[in-house]
Amino acid sequence: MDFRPLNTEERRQLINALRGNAESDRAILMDRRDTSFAGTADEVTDEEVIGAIKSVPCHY
Amino acid sequence: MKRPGRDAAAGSFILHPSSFILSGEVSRVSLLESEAGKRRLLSVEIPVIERYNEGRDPAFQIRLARAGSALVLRYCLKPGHNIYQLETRLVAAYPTVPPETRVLTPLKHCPHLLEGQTLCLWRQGSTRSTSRWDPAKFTCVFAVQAAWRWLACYEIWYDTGEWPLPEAK
Repeated sequence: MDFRPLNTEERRQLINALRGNAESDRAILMDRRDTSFAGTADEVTDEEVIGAIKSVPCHY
Repeated sequence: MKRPGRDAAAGSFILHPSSFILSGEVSRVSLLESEAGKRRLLSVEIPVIERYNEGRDPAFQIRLARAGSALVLRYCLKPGHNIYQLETRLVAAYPTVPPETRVLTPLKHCPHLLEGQTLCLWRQGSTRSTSRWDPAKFTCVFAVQAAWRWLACYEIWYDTGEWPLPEAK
């Protein structure tokens, strides 16, 4: 795979989202169509819930 | 068919008593063979997968296949600009045993990656709720979401050399 890296701003946003998810249980939103990163939310609607990544148990 | 509860994130549904496997029953569940396993599959896992697939590009939908006594979910995720092919295996003892997820797309060797590009997602025997798989709360879509988060970490690690989240305990 030809890896295409995130640009600086994209990386900053994703790091903040991951840390907000781990530390504050802030949901990460996945784009409905292609699962790309679509921001974060404190609360998620019924429509968003299937694509909202809450603080998941994980070994990392 | 009763749907799982919607009072939590999709992958972490709080399951209605009539549709989830009571804790005392969990150890006897065989997903494809036992009645309890089939009930779990039909009333919990399949509806959640269908909901995940609604409105999603076909290339990113979850596809199900049987592999012996296991059920395999095949799907793609794209946390950044790169598309990864993945496979999540629900073994016969699922949901007592957590799902196993591996990335089929070649990755660079990195932290939290096991043999066969299996993702290290849950710590067996952990007493911390943030580190362990809970069969009464989670579904296979939860594993897909955990894989997304792992891949997001991988994309950052690839650029920076640092895993952006701390180790679980």
